[in-house]
Amino acid sequence: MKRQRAGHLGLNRRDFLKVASGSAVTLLGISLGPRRASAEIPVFTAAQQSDLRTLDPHMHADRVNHIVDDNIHDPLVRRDAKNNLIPWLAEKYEVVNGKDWKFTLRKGVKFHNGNPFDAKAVKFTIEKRLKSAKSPRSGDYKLVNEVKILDSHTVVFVCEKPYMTLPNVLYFAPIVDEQYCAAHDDEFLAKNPMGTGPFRFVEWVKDDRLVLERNEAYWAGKPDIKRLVFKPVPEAATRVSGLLAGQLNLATYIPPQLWKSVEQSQRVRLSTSIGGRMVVAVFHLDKDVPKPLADVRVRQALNYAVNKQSIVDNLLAGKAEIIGQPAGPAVFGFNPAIRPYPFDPAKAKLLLKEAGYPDGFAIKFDVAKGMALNDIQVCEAIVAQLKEVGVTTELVVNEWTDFMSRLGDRKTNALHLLSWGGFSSFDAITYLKPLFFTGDKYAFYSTPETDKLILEAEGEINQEKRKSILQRTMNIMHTQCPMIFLHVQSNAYGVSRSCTWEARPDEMIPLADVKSV
Amino acid sequence: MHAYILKRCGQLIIVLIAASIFIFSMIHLAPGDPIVVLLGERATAEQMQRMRQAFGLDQPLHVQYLKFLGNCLQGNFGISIRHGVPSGRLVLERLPITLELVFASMLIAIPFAIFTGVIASIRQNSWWDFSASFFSLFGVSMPSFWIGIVLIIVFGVVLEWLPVMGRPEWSLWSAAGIALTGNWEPLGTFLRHLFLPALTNSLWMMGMVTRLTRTSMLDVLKEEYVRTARGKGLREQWVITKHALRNALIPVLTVVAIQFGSVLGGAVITETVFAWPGMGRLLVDSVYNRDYPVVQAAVIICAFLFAVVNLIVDFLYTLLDPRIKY
Repeated sequence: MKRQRAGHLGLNRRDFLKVASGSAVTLLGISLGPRRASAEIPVFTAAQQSDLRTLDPHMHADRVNHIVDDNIHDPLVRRDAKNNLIPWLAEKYEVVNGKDWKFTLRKGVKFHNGNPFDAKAVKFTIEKRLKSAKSPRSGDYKLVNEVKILDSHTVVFVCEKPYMTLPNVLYFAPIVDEQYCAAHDDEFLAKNPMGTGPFRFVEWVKDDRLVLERNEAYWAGKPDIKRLVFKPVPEAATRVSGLLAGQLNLATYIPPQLWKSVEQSQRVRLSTSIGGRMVVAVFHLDKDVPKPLADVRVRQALNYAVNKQSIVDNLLAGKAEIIGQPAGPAVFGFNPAIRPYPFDPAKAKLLLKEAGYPDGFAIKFDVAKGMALNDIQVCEAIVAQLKEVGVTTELVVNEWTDFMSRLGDRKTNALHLLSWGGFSSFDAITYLKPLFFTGDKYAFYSTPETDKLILEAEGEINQEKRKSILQRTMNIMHTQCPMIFLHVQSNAYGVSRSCTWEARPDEMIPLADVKSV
Repeated sequence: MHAYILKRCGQLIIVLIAASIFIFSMIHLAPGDPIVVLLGERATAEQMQRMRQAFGLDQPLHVQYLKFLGNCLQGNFGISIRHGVPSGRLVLERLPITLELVFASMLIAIPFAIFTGVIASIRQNSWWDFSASFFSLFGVSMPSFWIGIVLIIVFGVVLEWLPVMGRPEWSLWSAAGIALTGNWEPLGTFLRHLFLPALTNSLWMMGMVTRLTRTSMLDVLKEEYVRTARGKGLREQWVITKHALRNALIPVLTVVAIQFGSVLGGAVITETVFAWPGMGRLLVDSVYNRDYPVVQAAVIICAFLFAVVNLIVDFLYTLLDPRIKY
């Protein structure tokens, strides 16, 4: 017998009842069994390119250390996946008295040992730990005179003058337990961290593994990862092999030549982000400046002579953002109206001729191995491109420690490659001040005008006005060309396809929110 | 014998002092400031100066050396600039891990190389001989870095037979101890992690010893006493192993003792490639970071170890050749 269809829906009664009951279950959320939670990840192994120096979160200035600290500790303020600063251990923060910062702290948070997080912990962390002469980051807190406690969950950072990037810097100020620190010496604290973060410390075997376990009582929700292991694996090819073989879930700093191997894998994928790390070639424009470089037309010519797009396409797999100013688009104060110098060797030659160098000139170019992605190859490309306009550049490849020592002593050559991340603050002042303010360690170019603008930006509380001052300064830098502006490089990571982690602009690797796919 | 031991101990002290002067000079004269690396970009000039004073780096070099030598005599190699702990302790913690790799490398290299060298010598100009020569050339020519990466790709990534990096949480001895209780898994896991780095580290010595064994055996097989042994009707196997090989091994043993230093040095690269957490990696990091106390401690301890190994080999000669007496 032929089945009868029910009315205009084209369904018979049986089919209709099936669909209707299914819809009711979906719409009403009627549970037909135990609710399936996201799958627990028993072990997650992440490989970094070097080991930690210490587990004391305040006694280092190393990125690999910050990455680990971020999983054991919490700061007052952090960045979300979209790179916005959000309150974290603080519920809110604001400028008061025209220069100070008031933080209202989150209640109900505990350290891993059960001690409460409160205003005293914040005061101790800043005054006794980060401002201590032993901390390499004490310079970040020079402008903070004291941390005043208003009540158990309210503090005021009393600043000498307006310090608008304090919240940016506080991302790297993990809060520690005063009682715990007072009860142990420095050697113990260097090996036994105590935080409020999503993972608690289990063991550290130097150069082999750092093991953390899930904080079951984490205030922001316990992570899906039960056991988190950080392994130092210096060789990039080994990190990638570990990923491809399934021994690792995440590996940092994958060099461009291995991106394809990772992308083609069924097991892992490449995750990249463009952050704040710019790569530039800095002209030495302070004392003993080579005569040609003293002329702005020459410096502009060298910017026209370099084919940045070709460098990005051929050496960085197209994953970099070309810049025309000393900061990238993710940085507050970046001037979107400024266009990068286009590749125009004819214009470069014209400018050199106008400046009195029709036949070019010779300079030396320093690069330190490890400065940037494919650093040597990028420099070799620049050397070849400058040669096309008559500028003979001798590339001097240096070992890292030697170069950084000479850079600090200002004993490097006329041009040097620099990668600068602005301390991951994403504020233009941390690019402009260290690199262009008179007397600063890495400043090879400064003028009274730009010094004045930098000080003005530092002291301005109104963010819109600050932005305008910073953008004006960027414009001057673009015109004056104290550097060959190259690109903002990618942060590239290999990660298991079975988990949700994505690369972040700030180069940090918080793993509390990683889920199974 | 006692006089010989005392003489060798005296020589050892002179060698260690010479090594200390050499490594102290080399590492301190290398350009680069360890404090710059330690404190990073944001440190102030005052912080850097204070740190230099704390480590005595502001003193003249000869003052620093004399202080270092005086401390060494008390077993104190100084505090690591980078890690803030006694450098001697750091090195001695890692040394057993490197020795696991080194001895495993030698355990793979020496028997295989001697066997191959002997076969090549008794089957001269055959395919055995040519293969052994090719293999020997390959072993000494190919950089261990490259070999390591190739082995990782083949055995770790493509075949997925072996782990590509790292060392398990048990030491060899604790894994062996657990195996005695009937649980073989830790030892199996350990050996699986050890195999690729040990093989990588062994190839150079394997190539060298193969070639040397072959040459030494060819020389010995021409000797009259070997002809006499054959003439007496002894089985060929007996002639080769008891008469020829024993004498052929004397120069081989000498080279093995000298090459111990190379294998120890080769571990530096192998440990970096395979993320094996031994002294080699510590040394590489310390050189990059100009961690003078750790570099000095590692080199002096290695020099001591090398001297002890050579002393042991000297005694082994007496087993091979009873005519040798000290």
